[in-house]
Amino acid sequence: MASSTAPPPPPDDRVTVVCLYCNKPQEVSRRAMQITCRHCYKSLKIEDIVVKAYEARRSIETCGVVVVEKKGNVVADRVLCGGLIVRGKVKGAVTSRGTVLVGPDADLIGDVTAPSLAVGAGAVLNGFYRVGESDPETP
Amino acid sequence: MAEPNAEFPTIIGPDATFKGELSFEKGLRLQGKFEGRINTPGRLHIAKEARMQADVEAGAIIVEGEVKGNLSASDRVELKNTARYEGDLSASKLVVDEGASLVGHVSIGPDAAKGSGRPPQSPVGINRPMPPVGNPQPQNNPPKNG
Repeated sequence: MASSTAPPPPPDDRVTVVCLYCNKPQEVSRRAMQITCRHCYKSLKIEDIVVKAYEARRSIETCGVVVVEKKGNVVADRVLCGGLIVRGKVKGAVTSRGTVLVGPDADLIGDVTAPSLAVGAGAVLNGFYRVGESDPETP
Repeated sequence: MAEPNAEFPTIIGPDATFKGELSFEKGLRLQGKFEGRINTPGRLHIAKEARMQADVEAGAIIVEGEVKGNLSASDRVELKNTARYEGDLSASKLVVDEGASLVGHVSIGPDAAKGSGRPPQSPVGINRPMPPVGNPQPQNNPPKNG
């Protein structure tokens, strides 16, 4: 009788994500949208988040990239993400594992911790920045 | 060694140490050590091997070396990939190359450039001040007769 368990996905279908909370890497399926960290057992969102309108939240947390489009306006206490692209407005404390891109005429108001930063002409930044140091601290 | 040119007529060489206040018109390339204060409408280039601990007000600032202090530029601040910067920064434009390190308060934008020289404000809306306590002042509108 054939086994009911599906074969593991091929290696090229897997991607390594680093836990936002314990900083430990793990391999997950490329198609996964949400996982539980196998080290700290916290729930991790893997998918990218695109914001196209006003959105007020207590926190935005994902291992993927947060994209705030031109008409997007994010007000959050905390943004914890794998990368951030701001074309609109963001107000909140940002901790990113990847590059923070601030487009021209975008606003980023709040403290930022990121490994690298790119700023377009005309962007408005205001806050305490920690860029290019070692890995962002675990919150 | 770099020769003085039209863009940077003044050079503080790699074996020089300067302590004090400095002002110039066009441009300065710093390759040695600087401690103090710089005030210029022109450009300041802090080379890779330079070390600076200063408060700077300039037209444009390019950082490749190690800087501690407050930078304020009416035009732009560029942090190259070898830059190590610690302090408060205000300018109308900021360019950060991959690999540069920056720790401190940042205030970027056209308004930041207008207020250059002042310390950057805390983020708006994050720590919003409480409204004043007490009764609102009554409006003194005299009663209309007739």
